[in-house]
Amino acid sequence: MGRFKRDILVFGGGFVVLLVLGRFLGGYHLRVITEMAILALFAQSLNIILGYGGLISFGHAAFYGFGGYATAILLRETSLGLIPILVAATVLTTAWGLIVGAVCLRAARLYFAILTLAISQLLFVIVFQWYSFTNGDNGIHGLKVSEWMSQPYHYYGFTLGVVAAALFLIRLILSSPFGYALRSVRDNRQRVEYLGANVWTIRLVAFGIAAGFGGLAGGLYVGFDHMAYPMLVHWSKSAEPLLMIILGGVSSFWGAPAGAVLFVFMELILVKVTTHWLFILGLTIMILVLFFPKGVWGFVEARLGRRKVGGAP
Amino acid sequence: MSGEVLLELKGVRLSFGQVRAVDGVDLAVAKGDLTAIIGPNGAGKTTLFNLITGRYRPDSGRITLDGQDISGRPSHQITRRGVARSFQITNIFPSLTVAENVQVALQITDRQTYRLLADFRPLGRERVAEILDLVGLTDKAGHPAGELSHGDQRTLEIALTLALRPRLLLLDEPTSGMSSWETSLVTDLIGRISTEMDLTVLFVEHDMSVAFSAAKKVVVMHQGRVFAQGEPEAIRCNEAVRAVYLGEEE
Repeated sequence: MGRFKRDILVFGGGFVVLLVLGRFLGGYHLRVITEMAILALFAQSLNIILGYGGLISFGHAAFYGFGGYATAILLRETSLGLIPILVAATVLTTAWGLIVGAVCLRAARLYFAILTLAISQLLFVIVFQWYSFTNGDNGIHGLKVSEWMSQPYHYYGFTLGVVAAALFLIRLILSSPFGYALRSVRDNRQRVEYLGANVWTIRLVAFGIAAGFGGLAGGLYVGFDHMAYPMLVHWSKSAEPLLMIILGGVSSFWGAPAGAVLFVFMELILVKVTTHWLFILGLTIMILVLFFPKGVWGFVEARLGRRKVGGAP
Repeated sequence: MSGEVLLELKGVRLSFGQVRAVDGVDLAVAKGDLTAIIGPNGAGKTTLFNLITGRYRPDSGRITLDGQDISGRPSHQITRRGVARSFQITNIFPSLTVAENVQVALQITDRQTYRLLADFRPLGRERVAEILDLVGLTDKAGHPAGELSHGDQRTLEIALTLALRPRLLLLDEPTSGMSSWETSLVTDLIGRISTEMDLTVLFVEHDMSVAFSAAKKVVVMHQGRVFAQGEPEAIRCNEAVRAVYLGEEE
């Protein structure tokens, strides 16, 4: 259990600090940080396959949205509490991820990326038009969560707890034999095959895990927003975690969460200044890619003089 | 021929379009043999390795390992049966450290890959140390593999194959691109692996002096066929071999 000590300190400590900090924040700021935390999990879920698996997916919203809609529909149709519903949404999205992965992983590189995009757009069209089930383009509104969960501070604390636990779990997985097998496949898939492992299965399992955590993030967001709408599945939602990862840095564990925080932060500030905030975001990303190819977190790490081999942890 | 046959190829053929890359190869490798495969460029040496390790499926013919048919099986399954190989172009995990490279190979061999919550770091520590010691990379254990010299990277690849505890080791030009100093180290290593670990080794070699000094048996390939085989001395003196191969080189 030795390896957990520092991580438990970081995740537990961060959770407690933010929890105390939340006491002094108003509803607006609580909502902002809640959203940051959810998107940090969303970005990290993608980074499992992107940063550690070397698989570029353009369709991760297919899992965020799937988890979101699963949560929304379960909230609408059942009287279960949010926690069991989120567990169910995560399991369902993992299963959906395994199916999508089994299809997409038949193809390589760019074809893989295009397939993920195609499947996510397929899901978008289904969600958009299946009025009797998803309420189509109107989305599902007015979802009820418990009295307790409706309090911004409570949901803030709940989200932080879930996200901290999920990130911790992802960190464990990435530092397990499986995590290293995944890095190995990224580095050199042929060598892995000739070590006697089935590359396809390793990637599929990683894809399922990434989908599950992406679905959990989507579910958390629906529990937060009390509604689900087709934009959760839209391709532009798939671009967000990609941008966050580029912002934060692909090659380390904290890159994706840092990128998510930065992304929300930039959005908030820039939206006040200009309606063309995406333009500024685009410029920023260009500058980052050109001058800080390892992302903001990668830059910070280099400054701190930390050597990372094979990507953190 | 010494002991039992470990690897046997019978009438193995493979064409790419009009090109008969491997054109009816019959070959038997006995347990414990240390065999070099030589031949001019395009003789089908690497293709033969690719057939044995399941990268290509033969058009016809049979490949058996210890009597079991392995022709056309997927690479990872053939590896599981104890066939390890290195490649002509170095094939390692550049972003992992030297020790982690070997650890990954061990963990896959020991079927630990799907332990999602176990700790990777202490895995197989002693075995890793043993293997690194054998190949002489102990003092570079913590280096990122991508930053090693070419010769060390090639040696690391041999270390990876040893982690598989193979029965049959296939090395594709293990000394290519190496300095003469590195070449002599690797030649020596191949000899030690074969005797100390009691491994059957088959290696493709471009460098004739390496092939003749390291191997106990030499197989000459030419135009997709086995042209001659025998003890290094016999091959060296074989007039026909000189004509097709040695003559060309010099």
